[in-house]
Amino acid sequence: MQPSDLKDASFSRYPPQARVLATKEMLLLRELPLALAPILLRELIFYDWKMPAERAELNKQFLYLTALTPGERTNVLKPFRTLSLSNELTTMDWVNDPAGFMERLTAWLWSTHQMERFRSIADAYSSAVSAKSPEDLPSSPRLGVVIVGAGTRQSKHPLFQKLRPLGVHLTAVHPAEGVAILLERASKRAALAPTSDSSFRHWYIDGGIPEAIPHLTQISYAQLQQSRALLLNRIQGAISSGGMGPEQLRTLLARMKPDEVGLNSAGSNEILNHFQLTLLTEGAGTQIFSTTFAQWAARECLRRAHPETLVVRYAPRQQAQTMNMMLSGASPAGLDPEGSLIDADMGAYYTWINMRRLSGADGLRFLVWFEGQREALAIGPGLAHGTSSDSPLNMHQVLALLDV
Amino acid sequence: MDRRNFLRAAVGVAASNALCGFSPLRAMQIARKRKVVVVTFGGGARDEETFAPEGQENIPHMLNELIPQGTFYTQVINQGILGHYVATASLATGAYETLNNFASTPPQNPTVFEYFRRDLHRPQEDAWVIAPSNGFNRIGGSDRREYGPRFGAEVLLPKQLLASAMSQGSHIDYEHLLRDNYETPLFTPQTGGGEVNLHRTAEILKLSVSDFMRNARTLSSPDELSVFMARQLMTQVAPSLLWITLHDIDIAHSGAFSLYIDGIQRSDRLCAEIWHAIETNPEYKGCTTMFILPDFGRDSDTNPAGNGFQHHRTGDALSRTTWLLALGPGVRQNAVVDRPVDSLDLVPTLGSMMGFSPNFAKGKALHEVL
Repeated sequence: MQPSDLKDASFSRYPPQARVLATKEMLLLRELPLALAPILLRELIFYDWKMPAERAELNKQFLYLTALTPGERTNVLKPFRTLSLSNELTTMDWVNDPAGFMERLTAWLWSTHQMERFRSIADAYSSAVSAKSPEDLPSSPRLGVVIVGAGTRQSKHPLFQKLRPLGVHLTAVHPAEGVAILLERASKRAALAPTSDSSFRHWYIDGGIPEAIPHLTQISYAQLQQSRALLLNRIQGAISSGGMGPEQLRTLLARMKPDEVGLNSAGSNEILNHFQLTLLTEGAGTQIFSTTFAQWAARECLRRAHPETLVVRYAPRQQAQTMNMMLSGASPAGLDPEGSLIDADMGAYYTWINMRRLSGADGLRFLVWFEGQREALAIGPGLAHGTSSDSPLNMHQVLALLDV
Repeated sequence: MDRRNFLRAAVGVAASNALCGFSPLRAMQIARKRKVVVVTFGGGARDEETFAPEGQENIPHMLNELIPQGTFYTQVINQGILGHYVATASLATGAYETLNNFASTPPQNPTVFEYFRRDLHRPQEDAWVIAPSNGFNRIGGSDRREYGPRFGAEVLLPKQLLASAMSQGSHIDYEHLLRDNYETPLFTPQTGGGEVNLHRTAEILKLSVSDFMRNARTLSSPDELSVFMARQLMTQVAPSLLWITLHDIDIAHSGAFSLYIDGIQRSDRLCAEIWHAIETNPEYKGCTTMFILPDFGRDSDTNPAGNGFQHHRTGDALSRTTWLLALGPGVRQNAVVDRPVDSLDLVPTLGSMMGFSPNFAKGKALHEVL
């Protein structure tokens, strides 16, 4: 099947909002090359459960393509048509399984040495879309806070090494009430945000048991304990049934619904629950290590929701056991707080990198703090790079330093 | 400082030792006696955690013991599919394989083991692979008609042997050695025949199952088990061509940075231990060339398509660029080669070194170490 063969009935199995959008954009979809159409459909098929920022991005992409003249559109899409695709890709049901198409396309491009060309074509296309429809600036400067090191009192290796050149290393922070102060400030930012703009804009991700705090979109490793157990149980069942390779398993996971892991598939938390499900089904290691969960959740939150406020708090992960044991949901052999601090330190760096990818990066305020200890690092406009301060500061003063 | 320069700085080699078209040195040993040990890392390590200034603390053995004794290639480019089985198969065939990374299938092109055994009329016991996970069980030989399994290597899967031995007793003491297939931990191909292999291998290695189990209990990781088996193999069989693939580093796929670092530090130590085993074994000392190379790298921190060290999915330059160290008789010591070379160059190099013709291999021999 080629995109030119698409009709309304092709999308009969899509969720309601996705179906409406597909029908509305039918003429455009029919014009797309086969190497591009399923990539768009992979986003479109989940439209009903997309974050607002993701929907806006997809809508902008459609707007960009429809605003082009026919000649311009032909030129923009032409490079995708130069890729050679296999018969298998043409004949598979890429409308209803765009993710499966992507997996096969990836393997095909690698095996035929077309990956580099595809990458440069895709980069050029996405640069053109971004240039025509840049992301809106945040209503207030973005704030990222990463809290690391719960469960340990000192680090065997120097912390924040990768971030130190970018900000002020604080060595005399008064830690009392630190977590509460940081969460309250995040909550206050959410409460003060314009109502129309507050949906999924202010987040709190906890790698352990979360604090109760209003106004923030919250997810945590502890609250997903039952979901993780159900998911691992499902995986074990699928593996033990035999004959299931990684591709089939990935397909199975991709088709799961939130209610299969104890989360509501509909209702007011529908979008958030789908998001949480994908953290567990798409993230490697998120099912077994709380530090990986926190880092990946932060990455996906930033990529998909473009938050203005993000607080990530790490907790000790379990000690490494065999993959088979961990994936079977075996009881932890113990906790590894020292290793978790190293994980979280790297995770903080990745969160900073991912926040820098969002609009308004020059105004970004970023803080990473060794929980319960005196060490922190602050990055923000006006703060000198690569400096250190031993001035005593409480957490309110640290936030003031960041002008938050 | 660019990658090439910081690697040069890391290995602390004077510019005068750089190699650029010098006259080839020949080993003094006759070809028949020559042995080769290849050590690959399945689950590459990035420069940041190894040769960059902030990573050097993780590889003291490489920097202080091994590199000064060998020739170090700073740019080894892998242009193939970045999955561990398919990439290791490509290293072993000298041609970019396109097989399914997670399927139990043989390489499409003849392996170095087949060239070696067929051309030099060597017995099966003279070529061995010690592979990290059960997914590598077909790497010993291709299905090429004129080559194929009858010329392939013996493949030793220590974890399979351990699992087989464990089926006869308690699991508890050994579970830590059975971590498998980090890249897709949800899938482990079945290999079958474990019991037969266990006893046959035990016989070849002159190691009783109980000795094997007792030794295994003292080890802390699957790679340590592989190196233990390699030592036993070198002592009892002394194969001329031994290929060891380490895999602990690939725990990075779980996203735990500290465990990835642990894996690098352990691999660094194990490489030194393998070299020590070579240097203290009369069958190997003075006639063995060791090659150490990761199969490929890992994603960079800044590529938005990836998640940093965790995976190798972006195909970016960092995930494709790695290094190679060669050391042994006839290989220039404390030398650096900056020119880009290809992962496929290994097999033609081994062919030139050992005297076989890798007819289907695509790379070019690394003349600096011949």
